[in-house]
Amino acid sequence: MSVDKVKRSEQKTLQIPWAAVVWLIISAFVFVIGGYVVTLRDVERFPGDFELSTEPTDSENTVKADIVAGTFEYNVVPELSNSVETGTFDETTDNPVAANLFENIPDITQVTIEPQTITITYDNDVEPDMYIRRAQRPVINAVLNDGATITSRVASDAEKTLVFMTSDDEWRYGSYVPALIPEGQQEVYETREAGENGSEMAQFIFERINSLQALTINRDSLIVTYREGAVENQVISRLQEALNEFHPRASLQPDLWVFTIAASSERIMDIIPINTGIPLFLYTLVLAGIEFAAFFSLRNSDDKLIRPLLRVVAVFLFFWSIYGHEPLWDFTLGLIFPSSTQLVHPNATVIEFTAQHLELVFVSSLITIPAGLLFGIIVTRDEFRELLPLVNNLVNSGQTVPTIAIVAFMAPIIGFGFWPAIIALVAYGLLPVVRNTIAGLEAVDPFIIDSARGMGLTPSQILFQIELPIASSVIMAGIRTSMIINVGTATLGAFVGSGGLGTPIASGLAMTVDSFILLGAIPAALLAILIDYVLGRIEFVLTPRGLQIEN
Amino acid sequence: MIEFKNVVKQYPNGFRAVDNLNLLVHEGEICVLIGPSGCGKTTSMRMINRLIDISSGEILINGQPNTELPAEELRRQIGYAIQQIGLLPHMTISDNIAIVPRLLKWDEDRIRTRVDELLDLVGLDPDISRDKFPRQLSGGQQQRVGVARALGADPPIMLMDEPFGAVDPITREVLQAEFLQIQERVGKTIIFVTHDIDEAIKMGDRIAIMRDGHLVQYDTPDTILAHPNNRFVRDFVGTDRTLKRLGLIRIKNLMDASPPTCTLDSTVEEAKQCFVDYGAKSVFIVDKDDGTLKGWVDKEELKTNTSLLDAMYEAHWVDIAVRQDATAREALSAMVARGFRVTPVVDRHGKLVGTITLKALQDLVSYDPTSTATTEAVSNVG
Repeated sequence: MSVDKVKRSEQKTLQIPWAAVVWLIISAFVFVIGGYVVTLRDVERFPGDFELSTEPTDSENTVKADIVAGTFEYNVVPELSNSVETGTFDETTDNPVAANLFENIPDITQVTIEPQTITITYDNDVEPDMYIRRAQRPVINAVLNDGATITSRVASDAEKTLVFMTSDDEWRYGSYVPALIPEGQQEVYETREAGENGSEMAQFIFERINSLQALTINRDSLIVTYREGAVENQVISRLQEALNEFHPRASLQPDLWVFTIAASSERIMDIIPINTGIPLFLYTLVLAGIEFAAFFSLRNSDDKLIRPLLRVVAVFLFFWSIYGHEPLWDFTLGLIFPSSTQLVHPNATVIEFTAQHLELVFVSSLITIPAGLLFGIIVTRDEFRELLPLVNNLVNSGQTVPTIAIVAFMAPIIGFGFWPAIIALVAYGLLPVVRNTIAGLEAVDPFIIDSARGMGLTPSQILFQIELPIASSVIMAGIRTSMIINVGTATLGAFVGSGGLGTPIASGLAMTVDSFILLGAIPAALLAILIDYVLGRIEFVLTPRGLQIEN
Repeated sequence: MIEFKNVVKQYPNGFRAVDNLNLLVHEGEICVLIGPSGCGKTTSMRMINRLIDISSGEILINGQPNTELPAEELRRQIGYAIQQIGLLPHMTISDNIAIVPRLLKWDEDRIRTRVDELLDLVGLDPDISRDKFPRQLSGGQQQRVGVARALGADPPIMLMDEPFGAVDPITREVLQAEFLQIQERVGKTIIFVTHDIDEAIKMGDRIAIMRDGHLVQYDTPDTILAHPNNRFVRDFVGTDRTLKRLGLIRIKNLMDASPPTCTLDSTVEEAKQCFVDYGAKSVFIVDKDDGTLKGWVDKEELKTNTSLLDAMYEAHWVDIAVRQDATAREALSAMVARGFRVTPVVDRHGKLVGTITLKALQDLVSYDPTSTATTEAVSNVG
């Protein structure tokens, strides 16, 4: 007894509020990362490659490189100058938008373009819903507009006709030239030395091109003087490379990099650096504080409820804000695929995909868990014990059939979308719950039940007060397994259009965009870990304390 | 009072686990059901609280058939303790003990008082044990809690199925002794199932020996040991049943309460006179003030010695005496081991209160004509 006491007091003095320390470390980490990852106002992605055209100048060894174009992505929303020509077009049209649509969407017979509406008539037997999905991307691409603002529907008054509409005033299309520095400014470096101490872009260019002797940076051109004997073409190509290399850095150094839209629009997109980690940083600091407080106020109590649940909520919110932090995903994927022009998915944000994914997992679990518990409880009652092998076989076969096969079977029967995926998930997730419920209930010492009966407990009292509490940890383990399996399996739902994190994976595989695959895979893996953690804590809370004591 | 009337338990396959059992258990008595495995003893016990249904016949509890109440209500009025204890591992000790009181909707204050009282009764400190979980207790402590739980709502009847079967022999003896003390205070009517004849003899006011679903003999332990009904009972109680009988008798009922005594400062003459008065071969020497046994002196020694102190064999009472609350069996064992025909009997402070002779033990059991073998054995040892 006295030895016991000594041990316990020793443990007390050695206790460290690890949770609080971990949150502190995370908050520091978030602050640093958040300083790098910058939310860009007005523009979501920087445009890609530069095109230079060179023209000779009067001075020797000097060339003027004009930036004539930068490509850009459809999810960039620059205001473009040229309105789309309206009218009705057939396959022979030379209207760029219509021609683009004819090229990219099979079996179209006619395209009508109005200021806010594109109507497509097609001729094949594909389901309209499927077809509209197929046509969406080419339409968005063709008019170079923001995907999120285009809505689509199947025309109700005409057969085999799709209607795409924008909430913006008009369709626009065009191209632009990115500007290197704001309008009306100029940077002049007459010597290498000056350039090496100049602006970051100047430093970068001088560092890359050894033969560079003088440089003038205008809004949309560079005037380059190179060393005698250097090959002009090489200088130009190095310049091109340097600019393109500088571009990914722009997202980290937004104050250096300003774009203008060419042609008629002179609007400068202001890019203001924000430490996007600040809210998350503050949140983690508060969590560290709460953990400290909880540590000091609860350390002498046998708290088994407050702290685990507090942590569950805190960890979930933390992960959730990471899911919601689109620039972070952009930044991370940019680190992995520096040369990729497409990083985040154009159709939806990561948090939207994740929310859809969670919806799939939770809705299927809402069916799986009660059904599994019910099956497990019923077949372990004496009256229905003959059903035990039958139910066992049934749930076993549910897991034997590949999910993708169930999905494939369901699609023709009940169509595409959410519910076929749910059916597959339920069929697949039922086994662990049923099996663990049976195992947990069967493992309850029969003598405990005998003594309970002998004391006069009714069968339902025995079930709810004795069998279920004792089996709770085994049952929870089954629920946990089932939900984790479902997080993985739900990605397959994307093949029938259920949404979720499988969508970027599927489109990444179809379009061979590696970053999309990771954009689905990484959050899905994180989600599995997160759900496992949350359920693990819930399991801990639900397991009666008397059962957590080792024999 | 529990009465079995022509009770039969027949299983669907025709096997009769209990066949026409008639048994009357008196109020406040411990009735031990004993017999080899499969004799129907546990089945009979479990039919009382209807954990097993009766096929025909009836069981009367205080004159009422036990089928009158719903099974659950009946069971709440009958304490139930089993060998495997069956404590609920997810509940604290106090919650375990409070199960039946809670089912009976006692108020919490009363339950709390009752739990503490019961923990005290079974020899556990309520302040330490109350909030512990079953897994934190030793096997013996768990058995005590099992007994306390069976006593929870103060039921007049208790069913106990080898309640001390799962602990080591030493703990079992302690628990048995403690339980007998508890029973002295609470006076329950107890059906006690065991397969251990020693336990049956020790615990039972009456023993019901069963075989193949039939009652073979139902009597007090002493009668069963002295007059086994038939060969089966004789074999079952064992060839050492005479020794077992001795185990039932306390020395204090058997001893000679006026032993030949001298004090330490007696003279040799006084001692010699003592030998004459008692006609004994040895005289015990005690302390003059508190009567503690200090040793003994033999007649022969007095002839050669002039001082009593020189003549006496000095020994601590623990080494030469038996306690007055020991059983005759223990006394016999001590005498055989030490080679005494007479051994002093002391109280727990070592005060000499009497003597017991081998002859007295022999006389006790030798009236039984069927136990000649044992009596001979005892004589040979003597």
